Amino acid sequence: MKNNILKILFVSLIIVFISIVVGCASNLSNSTKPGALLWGENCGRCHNVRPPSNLTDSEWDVAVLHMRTRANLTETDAEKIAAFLKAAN
Amino acid sequence: MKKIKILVAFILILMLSQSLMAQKEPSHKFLLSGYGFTNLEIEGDHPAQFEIGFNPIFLWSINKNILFESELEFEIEDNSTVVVLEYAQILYIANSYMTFGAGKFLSPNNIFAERYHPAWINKLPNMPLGLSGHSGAQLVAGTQVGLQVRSGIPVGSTKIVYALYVSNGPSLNIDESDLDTLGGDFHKINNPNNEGGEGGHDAAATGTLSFNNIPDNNSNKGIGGRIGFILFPELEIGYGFETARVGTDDTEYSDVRSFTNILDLSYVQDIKSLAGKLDVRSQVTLLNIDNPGIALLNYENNSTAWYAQLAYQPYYLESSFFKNLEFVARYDQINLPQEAELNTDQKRITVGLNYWLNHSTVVKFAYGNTISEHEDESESESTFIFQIAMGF
Ligand code: HEC
Repeated sequence: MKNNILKILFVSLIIVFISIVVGCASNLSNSTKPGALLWGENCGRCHNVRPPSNLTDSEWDVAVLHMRTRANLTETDAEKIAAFLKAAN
Repeated sequence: MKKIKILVAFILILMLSQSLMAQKEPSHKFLLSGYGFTNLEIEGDHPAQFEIGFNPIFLWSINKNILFESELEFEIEDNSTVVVLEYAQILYIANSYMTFGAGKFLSPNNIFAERYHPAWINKLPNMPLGLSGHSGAQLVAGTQVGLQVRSGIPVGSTKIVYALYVSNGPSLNIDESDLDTLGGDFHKINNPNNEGGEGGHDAAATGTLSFNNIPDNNSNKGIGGRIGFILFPELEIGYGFETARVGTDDTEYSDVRSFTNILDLSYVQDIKSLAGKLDVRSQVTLLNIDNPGIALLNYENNSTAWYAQLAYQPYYLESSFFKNLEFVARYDQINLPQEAELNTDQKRITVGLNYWLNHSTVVKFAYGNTISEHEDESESESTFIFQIAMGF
């Protein structure tokens, strides 16, 4: 059992390392992505994207907050996505 | 006269302030969401069954850091409506890298439960083997009651997401009627959460876990979590775990622990050359329960369940009919310890055809073939399921 945990830890560390390398090599980091792009990248990963026209501004505020916690988004990403949805609905 | 003027002015100010107030954003924001579905299932030679579900979701936010989420599940069982509190959690977003949750929440180590189980998200009308209480043995919890901390940390263009929880944890089922046959002084042996009928005859099978752990059957809390790597926006792989003492306090089994390991993969990619979207989901769940070397549990109690699912929707096609079609195929299997009471291994292949009426309303047709293996006997059964699901 202990061995298994060590193996998993080891594999996780390798993946963290790969993420860092891949992350730094790529030129567009999340902080420079516009809301529409972040919406496209993040909001279709678990379910079909919900079109902006689906909800009102104040409903999008709640839904994006909900999804921010579910999809583990950063504050900036969530705010950009909410701004995009509210501008496009 | 002066008094009347003052009164008019007062009323005017009141009206003005009212209309100004109305234009201001309310401090509480509310969203009623959720989903509903209807199934028709024809399994082997059993009579066809209709099933319905209605799951409203209530969301309140009081500011951009505090959210309350709750879901109720309405089902009809034996002619009466059963209501289950699927989840109810207060979330506090401390910062981008830490969100705290308290209450009953979807289990973050099990991404099928947390992301894919709602009928408008699940691409097939039934759930993978081992991941839900709806069909046969369940190896992993769908929800937890406790506390969690979670979020994500961007690393360049990739992201590491995490969740860690402390909860009541699962509880070990020991069917008292099995003990009667052994005799001996076994008092209070049963798990208080074993949803058995009178005399424990319909009780959950000995050696399995119950996940409905209120009240907690022991003083020990379960600890679990998940770490996920979003290597690029389309691909996420993750590892989830849970460790808990599951035996009921003051019983022979009180020291028994369980350890769960879960690996998952999700890949969603637009493939323009194929004019559509590819969606791959997979999860492997390994459950080890200690062998205490005493009656009823004297065997290696290890179970495994896994599934892999592939879906393709040609949504870049011109034809409005074909772009709404989705083709799905899933393989799943569950292996249980041969010495256990519940020991029917199953392998299943399911193919499905979906038609999306809009982004969250879908009509699904699925055909599944299950091979069940029980003590050298093997049996094959076909199932047809038709489902209409709507997320709102
Ligand atoms: C990690 C998976 C995941 C991601 C990524 C995700 N969602 Fe969701 N979403 C869900 C699940 C699961 C539900 C159903 C809610 C439930 O059953 O608890 C849902 C529900 C919704 C709903 C219905 C209202 C609600 O809040 O329940 C909306 C609207 C929505 N998502 C929009 C979005 C948007 C916008 C994004 C991008 C910021 C997004 N989703 C990203 C999993 C996800």
